[in-house]
Amino acid sequence: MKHITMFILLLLMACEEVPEEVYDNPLDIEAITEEGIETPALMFFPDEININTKEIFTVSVYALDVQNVAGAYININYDQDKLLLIAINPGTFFSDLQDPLYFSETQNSGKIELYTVFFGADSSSVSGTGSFFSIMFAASESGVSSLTYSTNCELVDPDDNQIEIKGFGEGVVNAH
Amino acid sequence: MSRLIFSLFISTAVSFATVTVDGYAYLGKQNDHSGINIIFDPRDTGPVTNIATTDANGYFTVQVETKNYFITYAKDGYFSEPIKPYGAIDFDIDTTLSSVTLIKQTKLIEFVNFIENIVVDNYRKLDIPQKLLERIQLADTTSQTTPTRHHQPTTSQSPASEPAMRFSKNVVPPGTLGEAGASDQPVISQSSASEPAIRFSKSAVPSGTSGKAEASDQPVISQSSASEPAIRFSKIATPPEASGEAGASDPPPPTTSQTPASEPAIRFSKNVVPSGTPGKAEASDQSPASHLATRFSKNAALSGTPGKTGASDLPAITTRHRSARKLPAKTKMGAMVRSLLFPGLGQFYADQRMWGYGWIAAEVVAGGLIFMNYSNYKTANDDYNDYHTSYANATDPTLIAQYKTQAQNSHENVESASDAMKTMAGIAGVVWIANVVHAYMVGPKSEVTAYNEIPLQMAYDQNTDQFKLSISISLD
Repeated sequence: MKHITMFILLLLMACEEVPEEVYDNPLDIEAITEEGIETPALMFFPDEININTKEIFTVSVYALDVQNVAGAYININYDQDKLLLIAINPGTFFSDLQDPLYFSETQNSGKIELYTVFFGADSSSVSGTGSFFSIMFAASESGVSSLTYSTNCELVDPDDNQIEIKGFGEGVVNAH
Repeated sequence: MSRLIFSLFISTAVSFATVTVDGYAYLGKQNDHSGINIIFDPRDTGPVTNIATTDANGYFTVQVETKNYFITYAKDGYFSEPIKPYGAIDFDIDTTLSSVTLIKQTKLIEFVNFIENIVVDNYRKLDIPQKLLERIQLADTTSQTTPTRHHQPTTSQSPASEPAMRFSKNVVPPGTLGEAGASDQPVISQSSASEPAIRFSKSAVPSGTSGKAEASDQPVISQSSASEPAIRFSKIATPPEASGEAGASDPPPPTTSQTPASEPAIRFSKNVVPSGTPGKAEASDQSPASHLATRFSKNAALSGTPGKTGASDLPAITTRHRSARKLPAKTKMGAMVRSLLFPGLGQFYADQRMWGYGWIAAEVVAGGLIFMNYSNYKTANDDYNDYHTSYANATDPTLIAQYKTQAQNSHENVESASDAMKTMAGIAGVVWIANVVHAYMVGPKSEVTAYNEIPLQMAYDQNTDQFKLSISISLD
């Protein structure tokens, strides 16, 4: 009996499944490109959040693969019935010798308008991938809600020339 | 006339003279030797049986008439011991007998049980089907028969021939139902002489309990009781004359009255159907003479054929225990099933040991490779999970790319190990199936018995007063 058990164990070993290879980091350019999102893009990180109701979570607003950006206007929509805005903090993308200048307008309609400008010591713009803001929400009701960018978001260079944003990511909040 | 009277006086005086007999008797491995009965049974018509009892030191003394006596040393729980070498001795003068040591019976029983347990355990280890064991046990119980004993009224040998110690289960000893009628034949009250016998039995009715053994004035011819310190260890034994019919007109010739004398046997048996059981006891009743042996057997049919058996002049001592448990024949299917359960087992079953070892080795190697690949798989999988978690949580594009690469490499390792593991599992399965097929091919033919009867022989040598056990294993 012991031998049979051992053999079955070996068979079970052999039947171990290989884990599915999933690369879905929203900041992975290759990954989002495979999903059809082109860069430069605005993304949420993380892009999928599973929490319990009344819990607080933070989601970051990322600019992905941008060049020479010095200022940004970000317009975010959220489900105000399920999410409660708690706080907005500046990200690290525009951090330099001094914190970036930013301000926000929040509306009861479930929209957040954010403005930020880069003040660098040695340069007037930044390139690459980084976060503009981190936004703190609380899940007020259970259910699935989404965070989306409005298409009127703008990225500009030091000369106030608009940088085309080719992709917009989406965040999903699943409150249990 | 006066001479005649004088001679009569002298002869009377001599005939009623007494002598002192003393000696020592000991209990084996005991400090207190008291309670041993030394039974002086007159060999002739003497009506009195003298019994001496030892004190704590084992010393006894008794006044007996000058006669020829059967002398037996007996104590409950010990093997009784007749005086050597012929069980009888003449006492004309004061005599000091040689010391005798009695052997405790329980040890023998334990020993027999020990042997039995070993045998049964070995059978179980050999994967004897449980049904077979149950069948054996069933046979133990179903073979129990109530022997109907028909004594020869003229000889009434039965009580005399059954002074045995019985260690039996469910035995209705001979003489239980029969009545030894009064006869003119030299029936001495051997039952009493044989009654120092100690019985270890379950549901046993001692011999002679209901039989009427009447003493007669006839000269004693038979040495049966004295020469039959037989000890029987039996289970469901059918006594020798259980179903035999003793001819009523069979006189016990002096030469044939030796029959029980030729049975100084000690029998340790189970389901023994002794020879002569179904047959009719002939006038000579020689059959037991062939059973000088001490038998330790289970389900053993004795070698003697029912009916007549030639008397043996030599007091054969060595006896055999041969278990006649017929086990199921080896089959190809049996070999296949065993190999199906575990590689190589069927080959061992078919006495193809090298093949058996080979298949086991092959399967062990395959299993080892499976395990090794499983270990690699687990390692790679753990690495993949770690790198993937780091990748998913990373926000720095450089780290994201780095973790992604590492996760991809780990995943490749996982796939490689998994593939190898499945391959080896497949090979192991093929080996297993091949082993099963091979076991069937090399499986034994049906006429080969799975296990031969146990070549266990046990013997009691009266000359050396020792038990002997031998086990023989055929190497062919």
